[in-house]
Amino acid sequence: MNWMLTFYGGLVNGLGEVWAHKFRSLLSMAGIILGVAALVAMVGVVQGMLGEMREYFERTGGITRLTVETREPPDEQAHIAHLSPGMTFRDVEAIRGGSPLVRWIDPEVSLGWRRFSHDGERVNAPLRAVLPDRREVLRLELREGRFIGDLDIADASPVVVLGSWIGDHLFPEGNAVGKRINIHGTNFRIIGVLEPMGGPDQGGWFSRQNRVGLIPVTTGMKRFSGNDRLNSLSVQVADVAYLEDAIEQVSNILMQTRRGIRDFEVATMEEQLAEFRRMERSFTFALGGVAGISLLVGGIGIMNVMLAVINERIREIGVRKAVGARGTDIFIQFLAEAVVISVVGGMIGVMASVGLVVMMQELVEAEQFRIVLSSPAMVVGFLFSAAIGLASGVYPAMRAARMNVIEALRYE
Amino acid sequence: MPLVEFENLSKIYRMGDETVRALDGVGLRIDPGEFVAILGPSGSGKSTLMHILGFMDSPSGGRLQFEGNEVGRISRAHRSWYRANRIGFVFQAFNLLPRLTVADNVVLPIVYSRSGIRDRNARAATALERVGMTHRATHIPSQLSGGERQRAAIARAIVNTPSLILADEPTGNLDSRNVDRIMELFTGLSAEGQTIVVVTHDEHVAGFARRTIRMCDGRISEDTSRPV
Ligand SMILES: Nc1ncnc2c1ncn2[C@@H]1O[C@H](COP(=O)(O)OP(=O)(O)O)[C@@H](O)[C@H]1O
Ligand SMILES: [Mg+2]
Repeated sequence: MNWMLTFYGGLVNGLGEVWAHKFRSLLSMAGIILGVAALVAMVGVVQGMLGEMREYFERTGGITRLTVETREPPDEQAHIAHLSPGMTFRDVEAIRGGSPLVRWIDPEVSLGWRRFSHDGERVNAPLRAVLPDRREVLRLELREGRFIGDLDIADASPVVVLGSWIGDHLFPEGNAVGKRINIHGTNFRIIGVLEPMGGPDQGGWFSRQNRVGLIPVTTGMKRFSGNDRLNSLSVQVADVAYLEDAIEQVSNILMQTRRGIRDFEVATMEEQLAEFRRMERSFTFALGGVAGISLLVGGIGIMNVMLAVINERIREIGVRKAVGARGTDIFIQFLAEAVVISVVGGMIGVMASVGLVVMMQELVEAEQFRIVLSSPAMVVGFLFSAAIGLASGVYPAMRAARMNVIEALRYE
Repeated sequence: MPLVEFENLSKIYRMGDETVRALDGVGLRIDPGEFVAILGPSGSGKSTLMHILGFMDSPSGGRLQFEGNEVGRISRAHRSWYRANRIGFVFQAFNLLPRLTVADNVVLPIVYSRSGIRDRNARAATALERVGMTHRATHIPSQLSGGERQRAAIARAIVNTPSLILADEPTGNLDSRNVDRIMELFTGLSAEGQTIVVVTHDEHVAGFARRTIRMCDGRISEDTSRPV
């Protein structure tokens, strides 16, 4: 109980000392401040990145998604490889007709960046030809109008659904539905405008999805690409329990559409998931290492300052001992002072980290990647700095506690 | 019962192969209420004796009793306890903590004696009043004159009602007017029954005490008391 009172007294005294030597205290805190700020900022960058990857993963179907990937056919089929038509719209029709385990089919013909113009205004954005299933797979919401429907596919109608970004730019007042828009020389009718994806703090993949024009896959093939090749094809399985069966089903169907040539692979997201976990782990280790080293440097800084402080205050130590202070009283007093320096440093570090993260958020465009302000990282950084202060204060405080009274009093 | 009693007390400093006998077999008895002055040339062992009596140092040999207890070889923690609770030390250089107010300086021994957390400020105020420093309680030492600083230091020495006040050349840094004020203060405390030992090399200062001890080369050469 008594030591707690002494510690409390030491904290108050330490605050006074820190205040009395503001500049020196700030210098001695520099390591801790930078350590905490760097920790929080780095966690923010990594969490932003990983968080976005995780959301993307979940948003695109998670582990219920299967992607059809193009592969080199095996050697024994190399001479007949040209017989396979490759990834075409026929795959889509065959899967739809033959695989009851597949719930959504999401093919895409990527038509590159195109010019969208209306009433003299123009913007550039990627144009993609897709099925109505795209809406379900990405859980797209419409701000106005409707999404591409089965009739649009059947008729290969010249209709387009605009991403929110294009909508905002060409139709700032809304009411885009029914208007005509010219896409690279072809006239389209706008049938819908999408809600923006993700929240305002979500960047990267999500905000890129807002700058896109979606047209029926058949329209894309007929008016732009001129053939039935697909750039990507993925399906979503109704139930994870039947994932293996679905892989087999889809593979069998594709073996037929590809005329027996194994130039594809039905891949699960397992691998991406494992890769994601590996990344998460290595980031965590790298972060921990960097944060650990910078806080260690901060701790060494504090120890150095405490040794200097004690040297300056040998006489004070002598006086305190002469009027009755025990070694432990002196020990606790200087330990508390080291803790004050590190805790104040930790607090300034947390405040600096907020500034740093906000500044980085301003500098880095949300479309590239996002940076989050991680409150757990702030708490951990703060607690860590306090612990570092405690640890680095022990040795100097011990030296102070062991000083001889008479020698200390005689010190000039 | 004597307050302090020691026999054949010695203190030897070893510096390389040279040994210095700072105290060379001193014996003395001081009773409660005595006012003692120790005189002697520089290097005669006065401060060494004061440090041992003040529990800041331990003797190399001999017997030392304080309030009837054998205290020649006690632990550091015990010595701290005696310093906080039984001894009030007054230094030539005042030794006030420069960043604390006078009141906070005076409170220090109470803090370290771990007594009377609640009435510590009242006790500090009483001690300051006793030395006539109430009006300077919130000043810091650099704002005070030498005489005022020494009065604050005396307040700090008496705040825990010690059984013995030790003053090592308390007037060494003061002008003659302040010397008398400080010595009158000690005389007053003595009149109230306080035991005081003052080290000096000034005969005028020694004249305030009833008993005068002269030291030379680590020994006591003369011990006289003037009649009441
Ligand atoms: N820490 C020490 N180491 C070595 N010698 C010391 C030490 N302290 C005191 N002395 C020596 O002991 C002798 C007595 O010193 P001191 O008690 O300070 O004398 P005084 O106070 O009478 O001037 C002196 O010769 C001094 O040099
Ligand atoms: Mg001396």
